[in-house]
Amino acid sequence: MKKIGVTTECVCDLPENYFEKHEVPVVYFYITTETGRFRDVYEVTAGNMIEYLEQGKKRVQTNAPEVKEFMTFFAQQLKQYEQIIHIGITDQVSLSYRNALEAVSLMGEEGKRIHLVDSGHLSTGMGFVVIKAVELRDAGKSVSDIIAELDVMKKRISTSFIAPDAEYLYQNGKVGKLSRNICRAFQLHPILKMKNGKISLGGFKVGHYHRAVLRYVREELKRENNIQKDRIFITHTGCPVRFINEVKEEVAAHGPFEKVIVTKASATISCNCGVETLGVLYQMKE
Amino acid sequence: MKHEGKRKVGTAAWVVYMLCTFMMLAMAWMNDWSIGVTWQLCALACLVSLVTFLPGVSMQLQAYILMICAFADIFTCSILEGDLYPSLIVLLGEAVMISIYKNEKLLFLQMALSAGLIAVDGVLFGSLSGQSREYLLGFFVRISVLFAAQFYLLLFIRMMNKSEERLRRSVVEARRAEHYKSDFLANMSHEIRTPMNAIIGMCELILRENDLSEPVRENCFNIQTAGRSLLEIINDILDFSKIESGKMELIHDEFNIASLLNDVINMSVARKGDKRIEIIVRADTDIPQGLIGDEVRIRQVIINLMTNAIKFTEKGSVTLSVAYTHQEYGANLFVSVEDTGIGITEENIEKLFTSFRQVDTKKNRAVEGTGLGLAISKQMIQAMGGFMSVKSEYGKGSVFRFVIPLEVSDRTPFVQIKNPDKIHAAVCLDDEMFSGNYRKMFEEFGEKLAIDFTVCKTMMELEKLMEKKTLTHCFVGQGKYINGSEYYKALAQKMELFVIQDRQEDIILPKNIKCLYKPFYILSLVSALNNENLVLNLSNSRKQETHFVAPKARILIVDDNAINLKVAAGLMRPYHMQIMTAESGPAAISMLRSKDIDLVFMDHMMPQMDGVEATRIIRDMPEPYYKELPIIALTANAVNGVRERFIQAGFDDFLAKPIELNALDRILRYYLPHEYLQRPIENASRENETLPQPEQGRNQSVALFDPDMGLRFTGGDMEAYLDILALYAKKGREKIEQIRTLAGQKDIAGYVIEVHALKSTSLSIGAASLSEYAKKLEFAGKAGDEQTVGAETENLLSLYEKVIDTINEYLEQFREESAEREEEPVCWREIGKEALMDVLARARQACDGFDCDSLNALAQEVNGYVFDGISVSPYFSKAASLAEDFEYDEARHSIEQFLTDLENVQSSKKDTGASESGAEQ
Repeated sequence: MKKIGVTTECVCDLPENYFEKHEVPVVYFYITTETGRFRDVYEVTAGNMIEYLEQGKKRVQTNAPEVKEFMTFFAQQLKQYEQIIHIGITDQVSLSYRNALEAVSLMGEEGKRIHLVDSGHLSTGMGFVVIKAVELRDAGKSVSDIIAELDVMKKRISTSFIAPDAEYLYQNGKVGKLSRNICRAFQLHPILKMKNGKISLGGFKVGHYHRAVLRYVREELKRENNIQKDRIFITHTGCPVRFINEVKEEVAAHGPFEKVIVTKASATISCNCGVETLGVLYQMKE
Repeated sequence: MKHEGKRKVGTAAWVVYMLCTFMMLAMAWMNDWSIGVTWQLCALACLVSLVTFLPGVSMQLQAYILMICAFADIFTCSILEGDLYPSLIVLLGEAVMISIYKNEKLLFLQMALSAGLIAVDGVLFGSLSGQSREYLLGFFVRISVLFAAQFYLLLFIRMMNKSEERLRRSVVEARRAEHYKSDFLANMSHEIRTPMNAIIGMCELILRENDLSEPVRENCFNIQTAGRSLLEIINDILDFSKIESGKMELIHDEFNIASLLNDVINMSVARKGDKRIEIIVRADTDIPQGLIGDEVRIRQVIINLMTNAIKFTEKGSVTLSVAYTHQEYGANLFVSVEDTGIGITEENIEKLFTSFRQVDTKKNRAVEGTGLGLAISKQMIQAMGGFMSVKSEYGKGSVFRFVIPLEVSDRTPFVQIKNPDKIHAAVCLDDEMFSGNYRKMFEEFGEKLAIDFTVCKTMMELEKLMEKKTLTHCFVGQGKYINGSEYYKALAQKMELFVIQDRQEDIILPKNIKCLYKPFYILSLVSALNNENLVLNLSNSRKQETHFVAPKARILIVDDNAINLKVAAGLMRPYHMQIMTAESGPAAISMLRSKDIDLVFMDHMMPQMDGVEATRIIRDMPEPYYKELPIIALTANAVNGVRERFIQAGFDDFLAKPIELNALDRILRYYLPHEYLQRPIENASRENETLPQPEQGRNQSVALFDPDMGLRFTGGDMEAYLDILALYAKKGREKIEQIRTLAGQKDIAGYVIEVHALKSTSLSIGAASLSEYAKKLEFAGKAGDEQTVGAETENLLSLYEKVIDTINEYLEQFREESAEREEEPVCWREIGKEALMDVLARARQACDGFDCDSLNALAQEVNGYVFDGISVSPYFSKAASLAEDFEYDEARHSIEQFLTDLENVQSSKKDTGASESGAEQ
């Protein structure tokens, strides 16, 4: 039996081959449509969801794994690992962390081997925390050391997105009606930022959306001297390939970064943000 | 949307009206107009608000009320207060308000009313008289602006209305065109399908003939393949059209995942053809056996994905995975098809499901296809409430997956191991299987089925395993089996042994070793572990190649359709089995009372007593023979999951109609007693020279005919050769007389014709010397050499007679030797009255229908049977012989003769006090 296992949720938006390569088991969120309930990433993709929504279908619902599902998932992992560190999405946007907590409490003695970490972020912001946890595990650190370091480093992560409009954000309760109406009336592109685990409006951009995104990227990376250059994520929900390449060039202009990783957001994130939402996520230096 | 639009228009008009009202209220306040005006303004504003927001008020009525109220306000303000000047702006606002309704007539009316109002005020009430020049100028300017604006609005509305009308017409036209297109496609597809089906069907009939030359067979097969491809394209186009027009109807019916997967596997094997790729099928064990959905569409989608994967993969494997997750509403069925093919670039993935042509067309030029399949598949999945996606790496392969929500009618897992605790199984795979997905599949089996299942790479590992435990089942790859056949044959004595083989390269195995054909999946494995029999249907074969013959096997085919019987019997003829036929369930039951039938093929659907009922009656008979007799269902409905029902009904297996030759081959090989299977006679004759040679002692020292030569000339078919010999001998006497007469009459032309014919027929049966002699006299006759013809004709005819005698002796000798080879003496069996009536009726029908083949078959069928002490077969054999000479009346007479003789026998028995059993005519 291996000593420490790192597990996480599909909404961390890391590439699928990362999970296989580093042995990171993943628990899936669900998307509920008019016809069924489907596992994110595994059964439906972000592309499926975006297409579904663009066809004028009714709203979809995104659901965190239920308590029972967490219990089954953890029980399975405990067969392979002595201790588990589970990195979850920020508690402020999902019931996932609470469900995981409840699952752990219901598991009795076995539950003491499970250690939950609220990443305080979502998407690849959460992904940074997972990567760090894996690195520390592989370096042979203890569970407590890993958790302590994660608590410190997650505060240095910058998670932000720009969306074409506020429609999906409003429908999913992430912004208020007034903000939605203002964005609609003045054709504004909202920018969302994570702060203390919460999503809040962090500004707007006007004009042609693609140009607005490039301006957003420039602004995000203007503090380039303070940004860690080992890794930066460009995470999007269905942006065209050509446009992504432009963003990559813009990011590279503020580098050099050792790795510029482009990932597609999960269906859960896509349903909440809408199509062609894009984020540049990085870690600040200590 | 219409209601929403109406509300928006009403709201906009109300807003304009309110603005106008506020403006007038402001004017009233500024100009100190009477309080009555204010009250009027407010009252009318309330009325307008009510009308605007009251549901059920039409837009036209709304517009009229607004206009009237607005005019009333303006009239009051301008006329009663004597000042039209400021109200001109309000008139303009009113025009804007009316234009929101896009009603030209109203706008015209408003213009007219405006003009009227101005005229009334200016002329009647004289508000313009006595005014300054500047006032008048300003007034006329405002009027001009007002009317210009009204006119412009009118034109604008008119233009907009025209555009909308054009748009409406275009929509109607488009819908009509869509409707025509659908009708056109439906009609055309029917018109195209009908001849296509005829072409494909005729090709199938031709391919079933055994005497086709190879090029003809090849061409016929190609025509059939092309026809099928074209049919598929037509079906695709129709499906796409239905989907586009939203007319695709989904069926909600119960289906079994096992049957669906079986059909998919069969079709995938057919598509794969000779390609050296593995098809691997993985399925979750706990998929419910009763799912509710549109099985046909689901199967269509999976087959489309598999076909694409096979098309674009040249080496490696295509893996079909089926999984399931439990949901409150039933289940999610998750299917993925993974290939090691050429892959797709990221740019092309975006176009994949919408393009009507293949992506990467330059590279895929050699691969056929319209590109419709994926678009249709995706839309079907979406119609079922599911999702489809693709992942691909260019140059490495692709994974297509879809998920659909389904209801569940029966949650029982579709596979179940009967005694999991008692099973200890192992598999020893061939090297190429070990390194691929097969190994993973086997490794999963043990876990999924919760049984003891070990994967071994080598025979040594297997031996070591057997030292630790006693195995109940062992699966071994064909390569490993061949390399250690003695070892595995010995293993087969101690446990159930299965050899995993490819269909195209299978080897004949001993009876106690079973075969598991690739591709297989968990159901096949579970059936093997449960010791159940399962035979999967296979792909078409171009040519019927029989790997064995079974002359001792007695087969009964039961079908109410005479043509089906003929076809089935024809397909089985190459196996040289003894074929009997029955046209009804009762006839079959009667024939089975003799208990000497080895295998029964029973049609599923027959009138009065169908195959299921007949089988049940047979199984209910007391003797163990009837319980163990293999009965195979013949059904045209094989693809709808009826296998399990047939097995429950008492059948051992089923064979789909039209009969696939390889499937028939395997059924026969599986169910016939092993000792009945022999190598085909052609091979035997070449290897062992068992063809008897004619005795040379009584004849000239030179052999008069060579059977080996004759057999070669007649295509190696022993039976056919003997028939030809018999016919040659039979006709010979007549021909001798004919040639003699022609020579005597000096009819050289006729003589040459007959001798020419004698030359070729003699050569074809192997009488080379006679042929040469006939050739010599033919040339003499052609040269006009009457002397040679006169001198040598009798020598020719003498030789001809000797050849005939030799042939007759040879045939007699052959019959004796055949009889000696029979281990059991011929037993006379009593034929039942009903069966007798049946064969008599069929014989009469065959005579009336000039059906020589049926008479021959009947003669074989009644061979060895007696009725009331009279042997039946001589009469039928004679009838068959007469039929060959097209003497059908005489043949019929022979059949009737049997009845006459029977009557006589029964009468004489009656006279002597014996018991009677009469046959009625």
